[in-house]
Amino acid sequence: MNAHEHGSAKPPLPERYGTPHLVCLVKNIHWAYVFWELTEDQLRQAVSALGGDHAARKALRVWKGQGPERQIVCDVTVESPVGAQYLYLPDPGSCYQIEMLLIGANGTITLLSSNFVVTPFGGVSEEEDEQWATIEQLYQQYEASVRRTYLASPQRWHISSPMPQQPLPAQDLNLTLDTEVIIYGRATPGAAVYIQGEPVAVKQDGSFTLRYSLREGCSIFPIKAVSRDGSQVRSVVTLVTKETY
Amino acid sequence: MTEAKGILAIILHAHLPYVRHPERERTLEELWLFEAITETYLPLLAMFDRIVQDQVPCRITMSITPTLGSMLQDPLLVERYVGHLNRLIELAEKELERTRFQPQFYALAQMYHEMFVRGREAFVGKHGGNLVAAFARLQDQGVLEIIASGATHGYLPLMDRPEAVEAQISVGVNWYREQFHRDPEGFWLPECGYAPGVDLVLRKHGIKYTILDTHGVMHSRPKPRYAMFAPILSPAGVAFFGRDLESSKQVWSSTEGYPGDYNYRDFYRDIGYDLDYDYVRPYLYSDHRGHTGIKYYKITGRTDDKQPYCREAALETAAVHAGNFMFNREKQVEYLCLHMDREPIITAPYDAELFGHWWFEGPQWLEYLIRKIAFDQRTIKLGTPGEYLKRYPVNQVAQPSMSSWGYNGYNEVWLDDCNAWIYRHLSMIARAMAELANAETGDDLLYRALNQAAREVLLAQSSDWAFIMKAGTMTEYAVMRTHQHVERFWQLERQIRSGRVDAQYLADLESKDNIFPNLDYRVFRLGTVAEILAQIS
Repeated sequence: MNAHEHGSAKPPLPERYGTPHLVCLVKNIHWAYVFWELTEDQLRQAVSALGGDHAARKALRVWKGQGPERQIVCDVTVESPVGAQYLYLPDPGSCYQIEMLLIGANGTITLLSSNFVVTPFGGVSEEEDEQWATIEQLYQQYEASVRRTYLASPQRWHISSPMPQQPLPAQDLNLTLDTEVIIYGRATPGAAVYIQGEPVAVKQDGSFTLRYSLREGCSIFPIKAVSRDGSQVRSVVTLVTKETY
Repeated sequence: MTEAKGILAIILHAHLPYVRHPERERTLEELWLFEAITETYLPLLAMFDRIVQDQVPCRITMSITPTLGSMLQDPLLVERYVGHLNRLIELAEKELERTRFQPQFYALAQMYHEMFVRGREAFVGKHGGNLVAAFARLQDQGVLEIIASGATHGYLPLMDRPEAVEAQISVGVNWYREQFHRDPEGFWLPECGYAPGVDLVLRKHGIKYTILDTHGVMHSRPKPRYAMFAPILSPAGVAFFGRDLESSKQVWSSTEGYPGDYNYRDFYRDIGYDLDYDYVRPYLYSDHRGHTGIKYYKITGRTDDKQPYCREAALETAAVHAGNFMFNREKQVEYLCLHMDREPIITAPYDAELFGHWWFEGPQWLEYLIRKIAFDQRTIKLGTPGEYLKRYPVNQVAQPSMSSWGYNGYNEVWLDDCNAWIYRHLSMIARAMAELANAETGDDLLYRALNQAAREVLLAQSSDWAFIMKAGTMTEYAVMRTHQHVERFWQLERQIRSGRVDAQYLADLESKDNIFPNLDYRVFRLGTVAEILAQIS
């Protein structure tokens, strides 16, 4: 049966949504599919911010990695404010993000940022470092981390937002927001610990704590412990996503 | 009795997309369900009942997706299926008359007549029109381990919105609990589609294991010590079992696989194409020729000159193939035992509809296999991933790779030039639904509208639509379904935002897209996602 046989033509779908977006989806090891929509207002403001540079061009910038170590892979010029296309991602098993830029003679403005994606590994690993555990052990670790998170949350909330003692006088309503993430854990005493490749201070009992400002989007924190004699390595990757609406 | 050296975990994935059109008397796509009931689900149930009756040791894992399970319990579709069976019996009776003087066809007409009559007795009588309950009974009897799956078989690796992944898994797990009155141990990822992060949501819902295609486990980091013959545990605490290549190829391969044997029944040669059009027209589901379910020829070979099907020869072949499959698994296990310090598990997942619908003799092959494993050897035994995890709770921790069991192993079946256009719309409706989900209302009409909007999002997400577009058959239907659900969502969204819900429009949608009557739209709520993020950090 086709649409005609159903007795109803297929209903039309919006060509534009009027909501700025840039989404990246992984197709396979090397290719991603991105689709985007820029609003006219957004473009107008960006051109104005570039000093009315109407010759500024739109481009998709492919970023590999995250944080200060991320690298530009390439820029791909695009024309349409609403579109979709495939992008080549060179390295399997890597994290990528796409940005939509407006590149003018006197500067560059980021118009849109995509979600982060991780491409498939694409082959058998050479890494043979083995850790063995039961589901229960991993559950216990997870539950312990949840308990600690719940304990920590009210304190942080209280420090940053103390309850007012008396009603505040009427004023324009403002709301500002920032977020932080606390990464803490414990390694065998004497082991060196690295987060995102950077060594971190480890206490005598092997515990460590770091506090990061959490940026919008997906943040990946690779955490590695290396034994005192360098013969053993354990790695954990934690992924935190921040979305603000 | 000597202890077996290895485990064979056969996994049957039973799934069909949600197709239900009360606005029409007959719909070609509803025939997918009717054919699957007659040719797969009822024969499998009958086979398992014989296994139980004969007290044959048997452990099979099975997923029944919420879309399939909901259709199997829908009063309208159940009623329509009984009508369909009655028409099939009528056609088979006519065939008994027509083939009376053609012995090779008359015996087959008798076979079909008996199959349909017994099917009706089982469906209406024994199972009371509720096949989900029949499978649940088999789980209670210890033959099956039934696992959960996504709400509407949404393809998780292509969902950019975490709320969408959460809703698919959460609704799927809740549906399982409602049907089977227990928590699911395992979860069938639709299309074996996995992307890092999905396991966090599985863990949140108490899922202990899932199944990936071979490379999902083989490409994990670090390298899996036992390849795909033991599970790995993701850092999130979910066990991943990898599909075995060898056993998969023997059944799935279109060239070397058992179902292509020349003695087996030919799927395509149906009397709906062969006989006089006026004769078969009352039994067709469209104005064009199509399948009736009565097929008289065997595959025969690479020829159009098909020979009549011989049931006895086909069953003999199925028995030989079952013996061959078992022998190969024995040899596989004996070899693996030389290299492993624990029992290997051979994970062999198949679409359930392969058995009976595409491969007519599939249920008999499976029955022979189960009986042969129980009585003819001691090297392997049937088991489930859940049991294996209980026996071997300590497993290697590794991060699985993004993967699927589709062509080329990643996402390109569901993300192709012909279907990529759907993802902008799916992303936007998931985003809008997540915003709507923050609403609280005491207004019954608004509450119902929010729930219906959530249903439309879930139905639009079915992986089947993108798959059908890629396959190139029935494409118009898949395109129409995507358009319909997206458009219905936006209609509802506008009504909800304006506070003016059209009660008649809503009631019409509720009667058409009636899946998940107990759905609560707040399953899409951002708070749910925030909960996951809190758990991660």
